[in-house]
Amino acid sequence: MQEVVIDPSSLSNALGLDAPTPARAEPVVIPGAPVHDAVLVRRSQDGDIGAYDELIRRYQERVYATVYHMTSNHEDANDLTQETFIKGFQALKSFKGDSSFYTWVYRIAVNKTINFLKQRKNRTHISLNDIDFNAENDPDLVALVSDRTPRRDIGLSELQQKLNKAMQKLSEPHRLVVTLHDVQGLSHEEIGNIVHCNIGTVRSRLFYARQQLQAHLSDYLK
Amino acid sequence: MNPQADNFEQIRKLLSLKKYEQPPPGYFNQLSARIISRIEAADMGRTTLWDRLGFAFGSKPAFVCALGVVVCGLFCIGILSTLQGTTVSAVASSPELAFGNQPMMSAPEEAHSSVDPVISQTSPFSDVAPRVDKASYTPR
Repeated sequence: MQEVVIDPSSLSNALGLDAPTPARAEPVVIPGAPVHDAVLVRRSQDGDIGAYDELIRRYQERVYATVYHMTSNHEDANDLTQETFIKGFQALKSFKGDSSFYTWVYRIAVNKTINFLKQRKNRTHISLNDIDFNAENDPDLVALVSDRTPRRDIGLSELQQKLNKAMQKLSEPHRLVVTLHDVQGLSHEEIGNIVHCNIGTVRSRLFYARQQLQAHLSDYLK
Repeated sequence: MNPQADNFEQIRKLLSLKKYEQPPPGYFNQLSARIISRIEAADMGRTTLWDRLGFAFGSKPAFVCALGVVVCGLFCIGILSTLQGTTVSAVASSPELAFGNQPMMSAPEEAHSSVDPVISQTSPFSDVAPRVDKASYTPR
């Protein structure tokens, strides 16, 4: 069953009530709509493994994608994603709710991935996932491959290989910013919260990373 | 248009290719179950034999219990030592208690009580004549 969660302060405002709301109000749970993350986190902190399972299902794809684009290796991404959520469950007692659960678990994933990449150093082993067939219908990609690329015979798979190799040439902080912004679609502010730096740093890293990628992939961009 | 911005636009389009890189079909259907089973396995690994047998209890009650045992022990030791002290003092004040109805050996004249030290006025070595042996040396 799904539940709706409404912030009590917004509810009282909507109803025109002047009653003061407590400093940290409990969310109102309405049956039939998705449960708010905060409710699931609280249940998980009380040992409800089912609630944590729901949190995993919500964020597993995004966490996996981030780790995968950082490592360019499915097996490593699989291991690191599992370890991220296991670590998250073990550390859930210390989660105070200062940030969203999503940001918090992302931080764990990013730290684990960067530590892993530092240990792996130059032993880069690329194991790429298959490209979804929908990519062939993406107008941007179709245009990029067939019209504007000098090497018109290049396929998406080859372009994928080149792109991933170019990504692996970036330093971890630059690769991370490109992954989170250009692939995952996170805002500069969200990235700043995750990697603990200000927006200016995020912007400059993004600019430098794009420049580097442009240099590495110049043959495919003219 | 700024050529650099245009190139970045192309980079962004190219990076959109990565969104289409997908893990094997059904991967995400099993991922959470795998993670949960690992969490539960880790929890099981942390439980001790006492936990599994149902004898697990919190550390705080155990500490309180141990403290109670120590306090009781100290109390018993205190009582016993007090009783022993009473017996010793009773024996000291009435020697009959220590020897029952048996007749006591007569104490020396010099002794004032059984606990007072007996100090003899005469030296026990006064009757012994000092013996001095001279070493003899006969040169060859």
